[in-house]
Amino acid sequence: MQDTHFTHLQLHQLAVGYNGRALISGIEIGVRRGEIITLVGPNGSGKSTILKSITRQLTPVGGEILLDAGGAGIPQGTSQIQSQFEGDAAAAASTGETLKKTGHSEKSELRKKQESPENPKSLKKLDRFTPVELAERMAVVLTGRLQAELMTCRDITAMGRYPYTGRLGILSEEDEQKVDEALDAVHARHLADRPFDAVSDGERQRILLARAICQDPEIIVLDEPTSYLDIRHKLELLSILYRMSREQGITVVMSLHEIDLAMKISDRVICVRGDRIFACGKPAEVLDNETVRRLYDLDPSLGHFDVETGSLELNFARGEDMKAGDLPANPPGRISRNSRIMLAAPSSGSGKTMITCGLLRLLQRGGLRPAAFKCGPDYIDPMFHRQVLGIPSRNLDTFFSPGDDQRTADPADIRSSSEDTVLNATPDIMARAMRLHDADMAVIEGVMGYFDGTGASGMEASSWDLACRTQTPVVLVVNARGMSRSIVPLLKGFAGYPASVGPADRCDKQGTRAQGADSGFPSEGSCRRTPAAESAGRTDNDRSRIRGVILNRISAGMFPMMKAWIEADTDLRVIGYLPQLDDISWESRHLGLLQPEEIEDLQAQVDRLADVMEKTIDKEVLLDLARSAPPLPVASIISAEGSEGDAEAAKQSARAQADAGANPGQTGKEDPRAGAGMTWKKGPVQSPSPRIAVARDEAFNFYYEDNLELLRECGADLVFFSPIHDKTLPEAEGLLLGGGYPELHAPALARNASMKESIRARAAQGMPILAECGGFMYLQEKLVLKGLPDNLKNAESLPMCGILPGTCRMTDRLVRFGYIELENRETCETTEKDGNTGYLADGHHIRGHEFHYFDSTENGDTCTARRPGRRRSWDCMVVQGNIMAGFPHLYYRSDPDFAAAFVGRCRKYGAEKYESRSLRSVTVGDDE
Amino acid sequence: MNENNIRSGAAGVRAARRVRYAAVFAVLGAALAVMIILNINTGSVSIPVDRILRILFLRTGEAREVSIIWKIRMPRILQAALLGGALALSGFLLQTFFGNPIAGPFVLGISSGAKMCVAVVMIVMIDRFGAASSWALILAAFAGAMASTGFILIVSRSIRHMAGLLVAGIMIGYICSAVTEFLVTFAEDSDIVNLHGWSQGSFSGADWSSTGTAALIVGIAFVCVFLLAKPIGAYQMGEAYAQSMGVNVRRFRMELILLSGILSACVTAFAGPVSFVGIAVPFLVKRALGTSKPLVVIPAAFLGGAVFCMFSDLVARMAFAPTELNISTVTSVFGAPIVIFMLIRKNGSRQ
Repeated sequence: MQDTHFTHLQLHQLAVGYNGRALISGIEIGVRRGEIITLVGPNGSGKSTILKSITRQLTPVGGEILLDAGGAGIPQGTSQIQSQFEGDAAAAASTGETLKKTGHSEKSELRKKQESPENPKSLKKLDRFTPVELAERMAVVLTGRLQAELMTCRDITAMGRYPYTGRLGILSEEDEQKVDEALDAVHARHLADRPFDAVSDGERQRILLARAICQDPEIIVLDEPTSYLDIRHKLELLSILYRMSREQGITVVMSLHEIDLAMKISDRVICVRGDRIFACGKPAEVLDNETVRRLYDLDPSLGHFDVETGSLELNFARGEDMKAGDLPANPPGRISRNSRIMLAAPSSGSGKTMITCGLLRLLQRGGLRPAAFKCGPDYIDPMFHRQVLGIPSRNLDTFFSPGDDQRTADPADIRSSSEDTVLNATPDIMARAMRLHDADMAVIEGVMGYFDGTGASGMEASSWDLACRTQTPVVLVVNARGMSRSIVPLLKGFAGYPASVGPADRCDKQGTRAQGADSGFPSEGSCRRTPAAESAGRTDNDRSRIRGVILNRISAGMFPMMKAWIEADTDLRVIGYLPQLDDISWESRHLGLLQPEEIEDLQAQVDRLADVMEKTIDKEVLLDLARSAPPLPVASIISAEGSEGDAEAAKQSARAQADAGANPGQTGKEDPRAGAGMTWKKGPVQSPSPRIAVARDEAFNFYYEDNLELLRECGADLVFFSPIHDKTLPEAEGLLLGGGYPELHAPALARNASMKESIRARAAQGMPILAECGGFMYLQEKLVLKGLPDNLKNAESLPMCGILPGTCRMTDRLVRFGYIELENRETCETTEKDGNTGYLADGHHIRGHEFHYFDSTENGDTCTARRPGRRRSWDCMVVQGNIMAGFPHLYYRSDPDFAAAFVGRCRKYGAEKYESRSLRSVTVGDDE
Repeated sequence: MNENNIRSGAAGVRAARRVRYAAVFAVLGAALAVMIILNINTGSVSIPVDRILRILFLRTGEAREVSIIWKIRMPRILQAALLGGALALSGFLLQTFFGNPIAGPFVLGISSGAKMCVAVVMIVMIDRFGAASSWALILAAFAGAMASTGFILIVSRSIRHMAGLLVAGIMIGYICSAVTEFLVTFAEDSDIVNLHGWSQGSFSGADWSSTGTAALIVGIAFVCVFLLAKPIGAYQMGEAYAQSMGVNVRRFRMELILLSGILSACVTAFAGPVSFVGIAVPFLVKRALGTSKPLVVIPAAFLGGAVFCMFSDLVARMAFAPTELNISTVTSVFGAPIVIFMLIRKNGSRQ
């Protein structure tokens, strides 16, 4: 219908912002005459800033705004509609008549005659218009309340005639008529003589629109016109706008909060987010569920926006099974939040991940809401879980969660435990996640071989350790290819282990675990006391916690026979099998599995897997085992929260917990980081929330969900961006660069010079930066690749950010790997004159792991990394100003103060930035 | 109700409004006349009405009485009327500018600026030269008031937020008061009494030359304000709307603050700081008219201010005659309750 010829308003390379600082730049939009354009985006994303620039309340920081000076005439399509409309007797009878009159004012007739189609473009820069010239073309409806003492609605409407009246502003008869017409157009004639401050919000908004109409504009700019309105008034207002646009060819530019309405009314929508135009185009093409989620940064665990139905879907508040302080065992036949199962295997490569993914999909199909967990520090398997479930999967690692050491297995003890109980034990993390995602069953994927762990016994932090601490029934996934009867002794061995080497012995050896003998390790004594164990009546398997088995890669023919053997000789339940599926394989790369994003039809493969498992897995048996789990041994604080069913409460308590557990050894001593923003401890509410930019794309994607969550609990807002695809760093007060595969995308990273430059600039300003492994490599000077796939071989020595000194070189083996515990190096004062030790406080320990094929010339020496139970230790972590970076992947919950210090530093940096900005700032006066 | 009904109803409402405006102006005009008569007729020397009339219209009579009427009472009446009107107008402008009903020359430090300069002149100049003419004081007050106004103008370029600007004005007031207090600490007792007397405001010093000057300044300013009625109306809806309707906001703000500064500087110069008129009168006038349309409010506020000041002056002269009260004492007694009433009422209507 419309033609680009009729460009009415052109934003050309526009940069808008305050005080010469661009908030959004590179805006390039041509608005056509008679078009309805809607800006959508989160609060504070810059919608109003753009609109204020268009209405000349703000001077653009860069670029230009062009407005059609003469008026290009009414587009043909519109004229047709109008002539149709004139012929329509029914419509003309009512409001149409007045609209027709206003529409065909002399002015627009004149416009038509003056402007010949040969010269349709008469765009003129906005600042060339005199105030009155602009007022004759553009009218506004602003957000915010209007103070209008002793003014009638008619007075307000009549103000619209301002550009047309004489020196004293006395209205002529014609002006009076225009006022009447405008009031009619918004169906507000009856309000004319009512005082403006005595009418309702909806009526006010209509009067303000009437005022704008009265101004006889060609373009109306509205800033959130539906803000205070109920649905009826929203409907009325928007339909008036729609009619004006279609019948009179008036261009409408507005911002809306209601995406659904924006989709329905707009010819085009512009998604504004922070520093850029996120998307622009026809609503149906631009807005889908995922775009909306990213635009507003919706937390999928809380809910999502459904574009189809235009409704906001909430995940929480669906009712609770549990009552306060009451932790019932699962009633038979019913799945509750305590249902859980672990899938473990005798060795790596048994097919755990695949079966876990298939199982998750299977459970979903059955109407359950499973939550997935991964034992150990692995990043990639949780990504798979996330792809399947659509909600984040979390890591559970007993090495990472020192709280486990202080936890007793006896539910009575736990419930009576006081507040100072550390709440970062694995059961707590599980419970919190289950509540957050309103999950009704937990599925934990084990790591490596079931008993493979670390420490002196080699079993610490193993899947078995986790199963014991969380009292989770275990299903062993066995790659039984090439096996027949031998499966039985294998299973018997696993199920009966450990017999003599009791974990109690191990605990006694570990001085730190004083309560160990009684702490959830399945020594004879402690296990007998758990009700579930007694009812189960098994002793052997209680040690191993293995209850069932899934046989992988055997044929349908073998299965019945093997099942019979196993059931005859062991107490294990045989849940099912999975035949060899040649078309599904998630092959390895140098760090492990492929990433889910790299597998083209992952969803289809998972679906196919679930199709197969539907037939070969006995889901009821599996659910039976899951239900047999006793209540999670969580601390009283968490269980009490459970009754409220409030995820927020969990966060609050986590903060409280971080407060309580923050400085156990430092009471009475001044916090060395007091200046570094530990003020968050004073209370949970802090403003403004610092934003932390988190790199998340193909190159950087190794993040523990719990790390991100802890940052949020400390008060940070996370803003995700891509160092490969985005031009610059988003507006933020901190930067988190996680690990990933930067080496695979090194050329792209090296090419994105503007991103590197923007990170360098922010780093120079002192923005706090935390970088792990891949992120650390990205911050250094150069990356030298070797031994990578052919297409990357030539791309040697790629320039990275160059913020930190050093070159990273690819080696052909794992350089340093395994669990580590970091503490500040004792001699650090010699290396850092100012004693700057980054975010790790002296005397604090943070746990993590290292796993990399690269080595740097500057690995840093601020901290010392110790391998647990071994003598080996090495220096790591570079600290430079507010930057802390190094190869270790850290788990923040093992030292919540670390995360708090980082967020605190970001907040401080933000406050300084804000202060320096606000010193020069000019607050734009609102109408209040 | 069909459309014709609504239309005629609307016309009826508009006619009723005009009647109301006319009634308000009539009442104000009548009150002005009454006040003039009462003021002429009242004083420590009582002069019968017939002789007053003869003196006024025939210019004949006893020389002493002629000079009382012509040299003392008439200039004083006219000055009270002119300056009262100017004060109300200045208050109205400042209230429009700040979108705040209690903005006024007192609040914004304009009066304090004048007082500071007067104190400097009184204390320093009398110290040095032994005397200061009344014109020196008038000039000092004018300069002080305009200096404060100028400061507000400069600040308003970078602080566009009204509340912030108001605070800046108040702060300027504090600084000026502090300087004044500092000077007072080292001043002679007589100077202190003089300064105190000046700072309470009085029309007692009126003579024809000063009245003429005041009339000229106020007259020009009034015409300018009246010509700004249209943008003032737009500005009442807020700066952004005014701008969108074609008001050159930057220039308009300058004009507005400059005019209100001149008006209040003029008052302060000739009568000293007179409080509350600027706040109370525009408020009352707007209520009486039932509108805030500048085109009617501007003349009505001027008239109202004149009436109020003449009334206050009458009370000041007569309440404890022969002792004359300071004008601010009277305006405060009548003005302050109105401000309080205004605040209570405003809160009430919000609930």
